[in-house]
Amino acid sequence: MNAETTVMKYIDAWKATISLARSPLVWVPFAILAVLKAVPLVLLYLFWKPSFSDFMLPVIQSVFGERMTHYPMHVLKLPDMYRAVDMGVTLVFGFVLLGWAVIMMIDRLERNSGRFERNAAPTLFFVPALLVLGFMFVLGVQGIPAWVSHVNESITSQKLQMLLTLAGLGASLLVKGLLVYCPSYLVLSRGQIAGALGKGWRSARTWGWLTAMIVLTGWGMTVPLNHLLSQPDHLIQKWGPGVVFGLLMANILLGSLEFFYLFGSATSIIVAKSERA
Amino acid sequence: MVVVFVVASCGSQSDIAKRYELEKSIWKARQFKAAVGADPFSASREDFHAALAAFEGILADGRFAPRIGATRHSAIERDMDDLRLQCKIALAELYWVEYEEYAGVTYFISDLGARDLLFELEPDARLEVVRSLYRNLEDDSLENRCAGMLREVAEDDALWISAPHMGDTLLAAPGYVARVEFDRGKSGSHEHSRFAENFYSRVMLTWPGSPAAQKACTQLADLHVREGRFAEALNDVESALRSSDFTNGEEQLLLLKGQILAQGLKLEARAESVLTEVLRGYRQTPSAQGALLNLASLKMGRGEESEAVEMLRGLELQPETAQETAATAMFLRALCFERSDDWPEALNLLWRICRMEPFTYAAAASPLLVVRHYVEKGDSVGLDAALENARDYYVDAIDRENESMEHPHVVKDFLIEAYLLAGKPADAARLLDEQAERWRPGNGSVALFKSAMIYINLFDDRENGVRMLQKCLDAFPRSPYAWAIERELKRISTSIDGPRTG
Repeated sequence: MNAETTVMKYIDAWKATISLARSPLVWVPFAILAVLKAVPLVLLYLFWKPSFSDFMLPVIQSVFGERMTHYPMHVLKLPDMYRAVDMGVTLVFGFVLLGWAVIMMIDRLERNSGRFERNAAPTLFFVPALLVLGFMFVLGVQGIPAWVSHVNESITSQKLQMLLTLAGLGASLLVKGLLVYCPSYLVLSRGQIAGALGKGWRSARTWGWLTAMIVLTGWGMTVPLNHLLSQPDHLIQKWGPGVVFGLLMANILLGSLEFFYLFGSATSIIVAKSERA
Repeated sequence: MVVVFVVASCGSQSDIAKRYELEKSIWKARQFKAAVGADPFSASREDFHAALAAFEGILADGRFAPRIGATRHSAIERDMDDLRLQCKIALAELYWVEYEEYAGVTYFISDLGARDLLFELEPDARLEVVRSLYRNLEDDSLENRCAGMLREVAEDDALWISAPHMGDTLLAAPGYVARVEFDRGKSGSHEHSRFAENFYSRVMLTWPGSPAAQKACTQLADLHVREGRFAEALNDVESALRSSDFTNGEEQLLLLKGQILAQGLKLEARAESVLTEVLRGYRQTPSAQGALLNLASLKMGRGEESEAVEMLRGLELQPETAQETAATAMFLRALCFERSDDWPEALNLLWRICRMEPFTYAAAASPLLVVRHYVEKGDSVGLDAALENARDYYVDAIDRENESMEHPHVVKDFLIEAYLLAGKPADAARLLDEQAERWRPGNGSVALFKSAMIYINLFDDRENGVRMLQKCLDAFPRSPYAWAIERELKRISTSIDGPRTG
């Protein structure tokens, strides 16, 4: 694919995603996912309130340690605590809801193109396969940076830390690129996980630059906020502790937006390819 | 989300929730204190009152009060006790900053010991001069508040049970309050002195060998020295040295011992022995340099000026000698030359000190020594020239606001003292009035305040005194000293109108 074609496809993917965004129903799975992430965040932030402390305190103490029940350590480490919860929610619910969203996206895109052939089957058939995809996604996209962060704590060389961080980021973006088409292929191939993975990886290779542009655009949406959240002590000093909670909530919304864009774009590319075929 | 927040507002407080809220409240209060602590002499009154209100509010909040009959058995109860203690300590430190600010404005012997080393004057005579300036301007309310909070901290069991919370401020405050009590000539109870003694002794007993204990020992010895109880001061230091708990800083204690023997007890032979031990055993340390200064001073006291000069010159030439120490050595050499009637050489040295950078304490004292020389000689022509030079030098130093000055009011105090020595206090008051508006608010307001104090206390000239205070308030309404000025105006008007209070 030459550069001009790549850019044209990138713009077409944007247009398709925007058209999908105009359909409120397509947002429902993402909204549910956002709520499923927001509730644990609220519970983590307000664990000390009398109504929550009975059940949240043992959870925080056993999972994160006694020091997380103190202020301001609790707020300083809230982003780290939330990251762990986010991985769990994405693992259990993220890709199941995404599968539902992809079905609706395919349906909407085919309607827009005048095709009414229904390729999508009910989500329940895909749950096991979606859970496998979710596991791979969480492991690669979220797990690698978390592991790098943990390893960096015991490294003193700043250069080595920076190198590891960049390597971890590159690996997670690579995994995202390899998996971005898989949910759509899974739906279209009626739950064949091996086939979806194979097609997804081949597509990522074939449309390498296009995939990279889409993945980097999605990543770029979250960079400013993630950068702010990497310095919670500075945020607290400047604006108070509430800003950390606020930014994490904003991060949940932005994360949903990124998901919508990534998989909306990927789905539109695959649907457009199948139309040409 | 709405449901979550409605549910969250119901229910009783658990201990962990209370501890969390207390930690949160203390954290917020510390943000206010941090704004004050960075530069207490420039902090706004609003910031200061916000910090005070924050900590006072926490201690007054019934939610965080200890339960009746509560023990420290559980970790949370211990945490709560420690947190309340931190609050009290923070409040004590704030009260002390406020008190020290007030005392610093109204009380200008900031380091009597060092200045007596330089000027060889009897402490009592100088104290009386200073006391006469400030006798009518004392205010016990700040002192009582500060001392009261320190007492409350000291009586809190949590302070003595866990690891020492002793910051430098908490260790310095009792000694400072006791020193001011003594220097202001308050006869009677010596209440603050006794409290300081007990406090420091308990620190040393509770945490033997710790840095806090070492500082407490030094503070206790310093307290006894200032009150003229030299034998007790010597005992303090010797007990600490014998205990072998102090693995670091032994040379500092030995130096202190030598100084007490030399300047306090006048046991020169023993003093020389101890100071020589410091010199030989701890070469190239600040304590060794201090020992050399003291040994030279002893020789000066015996009239052995030439030997003293040689020792001091050697100290100045050592590359590791700090600027401040070198300047002090030069100052002492100048004193030797003055005694040997070699005034030109002495004068040359003194002006060399004045030109040294960074600014040193000896540089602040040098013009004053020149003035004193001509006063003692009865040389009015020389005195006028010296006073003029001193005035120009001090005004220039305040203009430049040299950052190496430990205490920003030292130079103004030396300026006033120069005029007092020359018998021209009214000129000092007028000079401060003229220069005040050229200086930044911190210096300008203090200058007018001190000018007012000279008028009121030396000349009983309340008209000019009130004029100066009002001028200060009008020119610098937001200065850190506006509150002290308002207080004094109220006091003066009360004493004019009715019985004197406070």
